[in-house]
Amino acid sequence: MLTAIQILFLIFVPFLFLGIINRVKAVWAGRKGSPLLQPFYDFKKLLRKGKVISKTTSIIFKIAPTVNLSSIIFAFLILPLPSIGSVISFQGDFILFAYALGLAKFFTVIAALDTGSSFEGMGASREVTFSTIVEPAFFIVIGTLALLTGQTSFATIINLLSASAGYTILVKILFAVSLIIMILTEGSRVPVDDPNTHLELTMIHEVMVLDFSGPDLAFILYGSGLKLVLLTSLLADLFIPVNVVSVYPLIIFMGIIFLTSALIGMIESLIARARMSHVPQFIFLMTALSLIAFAVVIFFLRGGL
Amino acid sequence: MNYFFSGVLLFFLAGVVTIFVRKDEWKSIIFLIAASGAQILILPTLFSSLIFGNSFSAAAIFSEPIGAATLRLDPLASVFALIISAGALLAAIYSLGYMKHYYGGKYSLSAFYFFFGLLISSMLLVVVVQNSILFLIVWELMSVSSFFLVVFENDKEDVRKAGLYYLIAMQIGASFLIAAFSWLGNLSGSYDFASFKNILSAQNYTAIILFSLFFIGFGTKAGFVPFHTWLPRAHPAAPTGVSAIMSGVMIKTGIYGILRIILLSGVPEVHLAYAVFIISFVTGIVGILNAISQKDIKKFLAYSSIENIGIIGMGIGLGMLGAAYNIPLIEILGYLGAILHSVNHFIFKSMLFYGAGIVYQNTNTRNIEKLGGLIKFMPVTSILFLTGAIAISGLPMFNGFISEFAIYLGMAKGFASANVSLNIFMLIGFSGLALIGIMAMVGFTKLFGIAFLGSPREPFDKTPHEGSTALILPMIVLSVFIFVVGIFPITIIQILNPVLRQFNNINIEQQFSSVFSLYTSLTGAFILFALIIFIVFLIRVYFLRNKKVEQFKTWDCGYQAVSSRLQYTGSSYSLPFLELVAEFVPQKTVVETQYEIFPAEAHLKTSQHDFAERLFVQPVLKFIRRFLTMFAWIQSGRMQQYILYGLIFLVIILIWIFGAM
Amino acid sequence: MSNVIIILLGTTMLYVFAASRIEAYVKTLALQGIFLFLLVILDINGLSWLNIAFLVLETLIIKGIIIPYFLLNVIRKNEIGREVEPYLSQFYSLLIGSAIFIFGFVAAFWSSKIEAGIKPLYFGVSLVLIIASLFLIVNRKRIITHILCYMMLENGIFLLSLSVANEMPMLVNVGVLLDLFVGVYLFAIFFNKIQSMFDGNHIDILTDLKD
Repeated sequence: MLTAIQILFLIFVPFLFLGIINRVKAVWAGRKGSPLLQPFYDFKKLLRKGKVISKTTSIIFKIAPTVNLSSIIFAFLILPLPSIGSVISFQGDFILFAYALGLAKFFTVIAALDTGSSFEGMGASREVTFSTIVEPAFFIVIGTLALLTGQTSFATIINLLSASAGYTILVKILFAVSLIIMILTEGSRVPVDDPNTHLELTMIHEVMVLDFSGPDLAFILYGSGLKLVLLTSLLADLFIPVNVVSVYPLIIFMGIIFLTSALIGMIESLIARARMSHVPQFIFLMTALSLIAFAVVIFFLRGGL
Repeated sequence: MNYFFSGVLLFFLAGVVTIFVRKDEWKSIIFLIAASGAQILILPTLFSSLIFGNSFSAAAIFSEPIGAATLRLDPLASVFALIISAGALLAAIYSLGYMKHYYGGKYSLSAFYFFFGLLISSMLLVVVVQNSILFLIVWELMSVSSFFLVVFENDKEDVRKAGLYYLIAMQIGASFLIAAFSWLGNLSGSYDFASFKNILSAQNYTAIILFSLFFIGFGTKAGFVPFHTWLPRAHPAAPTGVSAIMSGVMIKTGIYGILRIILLSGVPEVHLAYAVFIISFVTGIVGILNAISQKDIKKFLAYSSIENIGIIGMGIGLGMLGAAYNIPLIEILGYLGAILHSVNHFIFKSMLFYGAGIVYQNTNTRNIEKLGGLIKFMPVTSILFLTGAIAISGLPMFNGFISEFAIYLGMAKGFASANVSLNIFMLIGFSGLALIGIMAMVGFTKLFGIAFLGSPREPFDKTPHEGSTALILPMIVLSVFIFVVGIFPITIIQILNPVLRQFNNINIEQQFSSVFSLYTSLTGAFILFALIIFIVFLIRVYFLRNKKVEQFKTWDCGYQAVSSRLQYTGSSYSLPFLELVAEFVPQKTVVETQYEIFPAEAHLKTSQHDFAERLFVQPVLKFIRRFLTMFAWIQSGRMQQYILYGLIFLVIILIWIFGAM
Repeated sequence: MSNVIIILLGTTMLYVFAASRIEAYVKTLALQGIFLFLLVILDINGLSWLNIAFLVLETLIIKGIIIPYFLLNVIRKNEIGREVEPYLSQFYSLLIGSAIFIFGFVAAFWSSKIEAGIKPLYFGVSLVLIIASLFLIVNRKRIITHILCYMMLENGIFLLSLSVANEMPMLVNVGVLLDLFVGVYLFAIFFNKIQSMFDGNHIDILTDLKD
C-alpha cells in the first residue's frame, strides 16, 4: 500500500521538482509564478501534439528520446528508495547506474549532431566536455562509498551508511555538496547552464533538444525532471536509513528532495551563470571535494597513510 | 592437435595457392574457401579446449639450435587462437569485397594473400609454441609478413615510411624478447618454457628484470605507452582488412605473451603489479587523448586501440594485484576482464575498421571533416558502425560493458581490502577508467556524429552507396556477437572458465560461481532494460498515432543562408575538451594570411602531435642521432673503404692469433 | 707435386698484381681453376664418386672454363676497356703483394708448428689468395675488377677448405658455388641495367647510394 503510494508519487515528483524550482525563482523575483504542477500540464499538452521533424535527421533522431528516457527509468530502478529498496541490486550495480546514464547521454549527443545545426553541435560538444569532469568525480564518490562501507552495491552501501556515525557525517556533507554540483551540471542549472535562455553563452542542454517536438519533447521534459529527482534521491539516500518500513524515512526522503529543489531555485536566483571558461573550474570543485572525502575516509578508516 | 596443425598449414597454403591463380577475382575466392576450410579444421580443437578444459600437446625435434620443441594448445592459447582464426575468416570475407578496388592494378594481389596466409599461420603458431627459439622464429615471421601487408600500396611514400617505422619498432621489441629469452635459456639450461618457471617465480631482482624485459618486448607489439608510436602510423597505411587484423588480432599476441609469462611466473611481485597497472592506465589515457584530436578515421581507431590495450593492461595489472595480495576474487575479475576485453575489442574494433573501409571506398577520403550525412546513403553500414561505437564506449547491453564491468568490479572490491596503497591505486584506476570511458564516448560521438550524421560538409565526388554483401556480412556477424555477449555474457564467461582456472590452480570454484551468478543477474537487468525501452517505445507509438508529422528544415533561428558548412566540424566538437587538456595535446597551428584591403585567400593548418611520443621517444631518437653522427665518417659510401676495413680486421686477427701461440 | 701447384697458385696472385689488362685477370682466373682441378685430382682417395664428380664440375668446368669464357664475352661485348686503373701505383701495389706473399709463408710456417691437423702450405697460400684479393678489391677502381678479384677470393676459400684435413664438407662447396653464382649474377645485372643508366663503370658511382 505504502509502496503503491510511493510509486504513484514518484511519477509526479519530477514535475513537482521542476515546478518548485520555478516557483522559488519567481517568488524570489517578486512575481507570483506559475502553478506548482505546471510542468505536468506542459507534459500533457506536448503529448497531445504532433511532430515536426527536420529533413536532415535520421532514425537516430527518432529513437533518441525513447532511449534517453528508458535509460533514466532503468537507472532509477537501481537506486534504493525508502521502504522499497531497489528493484535491481547486485554487486557492482552502481557501475551499471552510471553507465546507463551514460547511454542516455550518448544518444542525446548524437541526436543533437544528427540535426546538422551548429546550435546543437555546440551544445553537444560542451555537454561531453563537462561530462569528462563529472563522470570521474562521480566514480570517486562511488569509490569512496565502497571504501567506507566495504560493499559494492547501492542497496547494501546505503544500509551500512545509515548505521555508521562519527566522521562519516563530515564525509556525507562533502558528498552532499559534490552531488549538488553534479545535479547542477547534469540538470543544466545555473551556474553551469541557464535553462531559460537559448543564447550562445548558455547553450548546453537546452539547445540539444531544440529540434524535438510533440511526444518526443514530452519524453525529454519528463526525463530531465526524472534525472534531477534521480540524483537528488541519491543525495537523500545518504542521509536516511533505508530499510526501515515506516513512514518516518519516507518523510525525511521527500523532505530532502523538496528542500533540494528549493535550494536549486535559490541558487538560480542568487547566482549568475558563470563564464564559460569558469564552468569547468566549478565542476572541478566536485572532483576536489570528492577527493577530499576519499582522503578523509582513508585517514579515519585505515588509520592514515 | 593434428587438426589444428592441418588448419594452420591450410591457412598458409591458402596464401601460396593464390600465386598460381591467374585472375584476381579467383584469388580472393580461393583464399576465402581455403580459409573457411582451415577454420572448420581448427574450431573443434579450440572448443574442446575451451569448453572441456583440455590441453593438447605435440612434440617435434628440430635441428640445433632449436632442439626439442613442444607445442601446446591450452585454454589460454585457445582463446587467442579463436580470435586469430575468426579474425582471419572475417577478414578474408571482407577482402573479397574490398580488394575488388585493386583488381588488375599495379599491386600484386597474390603477394597480399600470400603474406596474409603467412601472417595468420605464424600467429596461430605463436600461441602454441613452447620453445624459445622456435617462438622467436614464428614471432619474427609474424612481424615480417605483417610488414609486407602494411606496405601493400607501396608507391605512396607515406605508406613506405610508415611500414619502415613499423618494421624497426618491431625489431626493437623483438630484441628485448631475444635478450630475455637468451638470458633465461642461459639460466635454466633449456629453451623450453616449462623450465623457466623456477627462475621466473623466484622473488629476486633477476625475475623482476626478466619480467620487465618481456613486458617491454611484448608491450611493443601490443602498443603500450611509450612503445606505441608505430600503431598510429602503421594502421592507416595498411589496407582496411589488414588494419582490422592488426588492430583486432595481432596486438593481442603481445597480450598473449604477457599472460603466458605471468602464467610461468607464479605469484607476481607486488611492485611489478603496480607498475603494470600504472603503465596501462597511462596507456589508456594517452591513447584516447590523442584519438580525440584526430580527424583521420583510421588514425583515430588506431589510437583507440592503444586506449583499449591500456584497459586490457589494467585488467592484467588488477589480476596481478589480486594474486600478489592473495585476494582470489580480484584476481579472477582482473584476468577475466583482461581476456574478455581482448575478445570484445577484437569484435568491435574489427567492426569499426570494416565500416571505416567502406566509408573510404565510397568517399575516397579518411578525413571526417569532409564527410557527413552518410547515414542517408549507407544506412546499414552506419547503424552497424554505431553499434561498434556504442560497444567501444562500454555502454550497457553491448559487449564492451561486460569486460569493463569486470575490471570496475575488481577495483571496487579492492576498496574492501585493508591495504592503503591498494585502496589508493584502486581509486586512481576506478576513476581513471571512468575518465577513459567518458573520453571514449567523446571521441566516438565525434567520429560517428561528424562522419555519419548531419549533412555532407563537402559535396561528394560520386554518390556513396551501401557496401556490398561481402563487406557488410562480417559486420553483421560481429554485431550479432556484440549483442549476444552484451546481453547474455554467461555464454562467453563459460568459455573463459578453463582459462581462468589456469591462473589459479587452487579451488576458485566458489568465487567463480559468484562471478557467474553476478553475470546472470546482469542478464536479468538487461532484459528488464530492453523491456523498458520497448514499453516506452510503445507509449510513444500510442501517442503518435493519428498525429500529424511534418517535415521541415532544422531550426535555424531565422538565419537564411544556412549551409552544410555551418555545421559543427570534428575539431570544433572536440575543441572545448582539448582546450581543457591543452598541455597534453600539443597542437601546431600554421596560419598564412595576407593583410590587404580586400579579402584574399588564407590558409590555416593545424596538426596534432602525440605528447607521449614527444616526451619519451623523441629525446631518445635525438640522442641516438647525435651520438651516431659522430661516427658518420665511417660510412663514406665508398665500397673499397668497407672492404679495406675487412682486410685490416683480417690481418690484425691473424697476427694476433699467430702471436698468441 | 701438389706443393708445386700450390706455389704456382700463389704466383698467379703475384702476376695479378703486376698485370694491367683485364683480360689477363680473366685468364689468370681460368688458370687458377685448372690448378685447383689438378690439386683435387692429386688428392683423391676415399672420396665417393659423387663428390669427385661435383668437384670436377666445380673446379674444371665452372671455374676453369665456363665462367672465364662468359666473362670474356661480356667484357668484349660491352667494350669495357682494357685498363685496370689502380689507386696506388703499380710499383707500390707490387711491393705490398710481395709482402702479402711473405706473410702467407709465415702463416704456413706457423701452422706447421702447431698440431692443428691442417696442411700448412695449403693454409698459407690460401691466406695469400684471400688477403691479396681483398687488397686488390680495395685498390682497383673498376667494378669489373671487383668481380674478378671476388672470384679469386672464392678460390682462396676453396683452397682453405682443402687444407682442413680431407673432409671437404659439402656445405663449403655449396657455399662457394652460391657465392660465385651471386657474384656473376650481380655482375650481369650491373652490366645490363646499370651501365645503361649511368654512363660509367667506376666504383665512384656507387657512392651515390650512401644516405
